[in-house]
Amino acid sequence: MREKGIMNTAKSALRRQNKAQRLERVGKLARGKFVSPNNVPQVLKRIIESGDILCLEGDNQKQADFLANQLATLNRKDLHDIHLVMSCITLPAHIQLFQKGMIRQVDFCYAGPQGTAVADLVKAKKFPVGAIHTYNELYARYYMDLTPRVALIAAAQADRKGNLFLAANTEDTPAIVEPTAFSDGIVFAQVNEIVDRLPRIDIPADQVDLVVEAPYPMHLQALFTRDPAAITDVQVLMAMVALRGIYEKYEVQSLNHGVGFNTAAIELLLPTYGERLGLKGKICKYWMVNPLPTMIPAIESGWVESVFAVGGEVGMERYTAAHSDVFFTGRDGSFHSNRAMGQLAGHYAIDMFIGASLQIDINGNSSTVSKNRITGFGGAPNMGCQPTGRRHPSKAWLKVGAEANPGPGALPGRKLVVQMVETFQSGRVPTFVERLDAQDPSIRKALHGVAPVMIYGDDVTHIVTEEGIANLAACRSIAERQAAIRAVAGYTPVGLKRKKRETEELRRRGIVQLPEDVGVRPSEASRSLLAAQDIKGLVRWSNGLYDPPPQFVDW
Amino acid sequence: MTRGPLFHEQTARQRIAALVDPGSFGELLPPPERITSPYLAQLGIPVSFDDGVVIGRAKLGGKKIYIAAQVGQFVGGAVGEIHGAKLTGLFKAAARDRAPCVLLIESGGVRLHEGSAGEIAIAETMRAIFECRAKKVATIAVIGSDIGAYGGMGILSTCCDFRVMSEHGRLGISGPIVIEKWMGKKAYDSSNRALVWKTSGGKTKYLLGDADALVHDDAGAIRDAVAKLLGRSSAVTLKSVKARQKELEKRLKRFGATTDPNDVWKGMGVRDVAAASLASGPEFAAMTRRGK
Repeated sequence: MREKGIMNTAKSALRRQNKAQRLERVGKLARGKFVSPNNVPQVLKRIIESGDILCLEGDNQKQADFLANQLATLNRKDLHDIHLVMSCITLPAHIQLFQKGMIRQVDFCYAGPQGTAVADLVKAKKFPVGAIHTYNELYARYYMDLTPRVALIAAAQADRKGNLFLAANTEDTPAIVEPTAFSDGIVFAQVNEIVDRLPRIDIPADQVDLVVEAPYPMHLQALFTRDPAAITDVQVLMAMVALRGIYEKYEVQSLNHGVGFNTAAIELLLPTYGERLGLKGKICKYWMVNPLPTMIPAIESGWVESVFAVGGEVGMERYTAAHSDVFFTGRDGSFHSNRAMGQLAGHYAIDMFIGASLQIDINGNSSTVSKNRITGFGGAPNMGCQPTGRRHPSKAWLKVGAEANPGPGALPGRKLVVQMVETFQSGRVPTFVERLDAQDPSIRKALHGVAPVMIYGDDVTHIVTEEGIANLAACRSIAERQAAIRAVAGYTPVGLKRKKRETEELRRRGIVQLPEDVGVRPSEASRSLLAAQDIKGLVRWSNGLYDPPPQFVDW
Repeated sequence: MTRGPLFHEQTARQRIAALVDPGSFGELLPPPERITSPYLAQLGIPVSFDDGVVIGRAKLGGKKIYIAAQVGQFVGGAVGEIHGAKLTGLFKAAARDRAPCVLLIESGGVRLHEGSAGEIAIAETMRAIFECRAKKVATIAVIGSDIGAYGGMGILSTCCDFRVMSEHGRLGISGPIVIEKWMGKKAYDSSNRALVWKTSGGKTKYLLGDADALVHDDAGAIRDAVAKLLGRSSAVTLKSVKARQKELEKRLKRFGATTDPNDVWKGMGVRDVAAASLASGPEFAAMTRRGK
């Protein structure tokens, strides 16, 4: 028993008292938990205090855009010194907060659509960035040193008690709400509609303080729709090479695909070329990807056992609901996603991550950042890395591990981390460079000395280009790795520096493989191998269950 | 599920090779002759050794034909003086030899850089087409490319005896962007692809009787459709023009005030618009009772 009367200097329940004061200030501006849209700016002024850590839900696809737009109507004299934490800087409203000087520090993951605006803010010294994170890294910090005082989030529906239904795009919401709600922070949700009965409860009312029915539905980006009509013959060639030289060779069972056309080509080759190679049932069974429309033919052909997703995809609602054996669905039958858990799966539980990049240097480091466009990371580095905490084996993991020839103090296995790129980007910009733009001193300085490298060369096991495959895992020295990269870098300045003898030696050892070395005839690479040639083809494969967004419909 | 290459993705020379009897194509004024546009050269714009159109003789099912294919990759298949002269000459040769003439269209119309010369060339080609028809030499336009048949080439295609279209093909006078520019985005949003294809795409044109066949996006299917039409032609007479005018007046009266192209489909007897939209060309042709 503690003695009475001793001064206790430890923190006790000040935060709880502070939260009560904030909600008290809201007073009659809310009826219970419910705020009318007109009162939102006033309510925001009363629940947020200058100096707060504020989390604004801006995900890869879903945006709390109404709340963000209302926040952007406030000024520096209303709110200042805000420490903004958010996954994705996506909306013009997000940029306005910086322009108005309301932000003291920002910690985020990704700024795709606002990449140019962010680069401009950096140049104008109006972007006080703490760090650029990967998704799970930032969520983890929500539980440590970046716990939000207030979180402005987005949900599909609320009931009269304030329970929330998140529909297909759960994305980051649980990862934001839990640390906020369980630390006496305030959770304010915008919802598309308030209903009497929710299809299912994703966030209990208990963790929600305020709700507004937004006058317009939340912004939702169709980010993962790739029109098969835009896939080129070269991409088909690369897909064939990857299928034979990596998927088949390592018997890849569980995987993540990026969102590019290269991997879309692979998905569309499974039911045709893959079937012909007799790979069905042997590869590509467990997926951690969003419900990609280009996966429909493979799913319909029985290739796919399961798909867990970090987010939804516009138009795939009816299709996913009808395929609950493949997709994770709620009791109501509709699709469920969770970015934190999906990223965790992509970190620990997949044989292979395969994605593209804008720039790769001679050491295999890659980045999507340029001086004029700062995009950040998102989730790719969570998956495109070697998780040294992994302990469970798989066939692919052990096989790459053996090729990498681990030393006595190293993991026996490796995750396949594959970069699949054409040697040139559009506009004849070379993908392969001696030095990444991300290494620019001004960018490094803004990021406190850390160059924004997406995937580190040490983590990459393979690079696939239209020239062939470079097996970096099997390289025995940095010099060898650089030679292997030059060997597949084609006619870029990096590629032109290759030495014929070195390339031949690497080829002899199987470290560099040309298409014919993995049994692919380039003359056979043709779009006609794709299971669907256009979006309409996907709709037909789905038996009419896929509803593509209007910008993709031409019928 | 593997299919052959799609017609709309093929190049002009690939299209001809896939359409005619193997090895039968003999190109006239081929690229080595370097007959290029003098106007583009003056403007410092790159020229093409075929001026954007491939013409020649070939056989289709053993029957002699003349055939032309426009090259959409070169200034959008637009018609300049040389390009147009090649087409005129081809139809004149067809009339002279009484051999059917097939025109694979991929063009937005006249080349702006040589406007008057292009306009005149298209008018001369039309006259050569009428010469063919007067001699009952079949003239067939195939519209199934990315660019479609717009402007002067849209008009020219309607001078031919027949139009074979794929669902992918589009036929019109003003292109979508031009319409939007003059009528406003509210009246016609050119980025609304569904609207563009519902107003000028193969299905709608077939439904209204502007296209005579609606086939798969595939050279084999197009060849079969063309082969059936080779022996049929009719002269353009005052009577036939007046009859066509009456039809168009009737159509205008019926649909002139309609703002939703789906209503045109319904008016033409399409019961399930969603299913018809999703159907392939031949499926669509089978499920609709085509109006004339």
